[in-house]
Amino acid sequence: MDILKRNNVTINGEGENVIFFAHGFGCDQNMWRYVSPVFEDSHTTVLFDHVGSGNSDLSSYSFEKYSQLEGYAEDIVEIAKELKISNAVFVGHSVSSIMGIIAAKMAPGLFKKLVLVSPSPSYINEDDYVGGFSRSEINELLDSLNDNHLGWSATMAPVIMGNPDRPELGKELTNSFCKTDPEIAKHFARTTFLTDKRDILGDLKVPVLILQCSNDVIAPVEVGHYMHRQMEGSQLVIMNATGHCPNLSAPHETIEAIRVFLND
Amino acid sequence: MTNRQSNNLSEDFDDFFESSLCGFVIADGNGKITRINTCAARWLGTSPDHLTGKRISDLFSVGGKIYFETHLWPLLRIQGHFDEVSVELTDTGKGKIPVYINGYERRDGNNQPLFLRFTLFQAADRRLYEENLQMSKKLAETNLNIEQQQAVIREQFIAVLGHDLRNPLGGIMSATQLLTRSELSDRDRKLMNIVHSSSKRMYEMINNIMDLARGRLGGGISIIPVTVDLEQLLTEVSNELKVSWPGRTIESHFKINRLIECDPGRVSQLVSNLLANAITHGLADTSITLGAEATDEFWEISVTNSGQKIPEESIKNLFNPFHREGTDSNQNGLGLGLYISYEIAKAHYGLLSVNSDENKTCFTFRVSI
Repeated sequence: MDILKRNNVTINGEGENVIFFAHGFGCDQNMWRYVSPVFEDSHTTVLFDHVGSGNSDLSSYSFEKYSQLEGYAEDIVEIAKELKISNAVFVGHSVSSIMGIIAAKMAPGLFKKLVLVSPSPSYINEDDYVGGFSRSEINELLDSLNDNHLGWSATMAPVIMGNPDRPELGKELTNSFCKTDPEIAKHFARTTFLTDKRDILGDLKVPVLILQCSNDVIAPVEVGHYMHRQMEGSQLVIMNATGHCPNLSAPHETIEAIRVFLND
Repeated sequence: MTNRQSNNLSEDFDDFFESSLCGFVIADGNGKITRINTCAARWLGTSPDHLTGKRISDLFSVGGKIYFETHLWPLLRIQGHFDEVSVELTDTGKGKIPVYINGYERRDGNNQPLFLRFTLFQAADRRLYEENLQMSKKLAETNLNIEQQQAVIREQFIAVLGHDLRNPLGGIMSATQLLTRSELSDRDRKLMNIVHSSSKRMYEMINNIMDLARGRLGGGISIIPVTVDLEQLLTEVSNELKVSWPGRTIESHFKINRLIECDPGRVSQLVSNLLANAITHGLADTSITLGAEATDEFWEISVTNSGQKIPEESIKNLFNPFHREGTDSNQNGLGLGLYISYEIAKAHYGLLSVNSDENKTCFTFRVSI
């Protein structure tokens, strides 16, 4: 299997310094369209779609492999190996932040710095930990996805699913940036929102920047503070940006924060 | 005059906005609600004042909220709009109301969001309709699954049955053969011959059943092609048939100037089937013609008998398994011969076809090179 094709890897910019941009649950590498081009002057940028998202090879989707964030992290390590990259910067949004931490531990030396945008190690409240949602709320989300009560009509899926070798068919659909096969979307949601990775935050040897939005319903401010406490030596920036996707809603603030961290 | 007109227009717009049957929501560039109409507020069991200032995703159930933040908000920023997305409004105690939502982002010259507009349509009936559709689809899928499993079991049963029947029959046949070498009375010898020929017929039928199972289960009959003298092969098959049907004439017309590549066992089986068919269905006092031709472009074998035309409706199913023509008293097989012959032709990348008119019927097996 061609790894670069599998993950629809896009490489831009030039130079020895490499930045990975990883999208989260929801859309695809287009999430970085207002951020990554800015770094192309000074860096080689590597963007990709997680298998099951965007224009990745849907036939490579494995319900077993991707039931754990480790499966996605393995892909990230494979892409880097394929491109013979080491000592890179990893910028991950949402659930991909955690994948980046896992990948950094899997392959020491692969990443020299991590930027975690709107990260959360666990979305479910437990004892003193505030994740943002109760378990029943997360179950409600998964049920809604199961019953196809969210998103676009399920009948659109076979059009994309049936033509993995012709991704351009998927592109022609409106809303295609965030349109996934419903079965895969359900599964990715399950993997994302039921994962508890609080135990892997410690003991990371690379510098970390946490970008936390104010008023993010998915990853509330408490989560940002929690990660900052657990990750020794990490930097926490509480952004003016609201919502869950500062890379789209406040690209300038996001770019500046990353720049300052990279020049440190 | 101009003033009054615009006042009227503005009143009309307010009325349109407020008393519409769909929900309208306007939010600032960050997603904070600046205006929401009475209809949407009513669905949420409150008044517009209580909703102004909240974040747009607060209108939705937990699932909808997460979906909005992870899918719909990004879409607004990436492509400026989204449409026909199904979400549920937050539950105010009367159940979650399903809605369809369209969204639009107005941008300034620098591509920065100025405001967002959302239109919501109640979708309870449509949701019910979709659920029914999904239930029917699931039911159909389940049924299809059951059918397919049953078909596989059926065909596996046929294969096992055929295989297991062959062993005891083999015993009967060898015992018969040994017995015929002993001294027997004329009556016993006649009875032995009946046992022998009946066993042989049964053996052929079992072989046919197994070929059928092989063809249906294992993606067709497989062949092992070798270089063959076709004329010699055809003469042997024809002679065998002549022994079984001493009263009938088989005329041969061969134009074969080279060796051909084929599976001799399978081609013999095909020709034997066609000849037996021709003898059974042809007029009793007429001869059968066995023709063959091999050139650089193709090779073909044809079997022709005189007799009535095969009816059009029969032709359609002629090569299907278990097809029997009418209620002909001559019938004593399973109706698998032509199906298996057809499969043998296919395995040779050739075609078995039939041509039937008022006077004669001709089957042709042709392989193009």
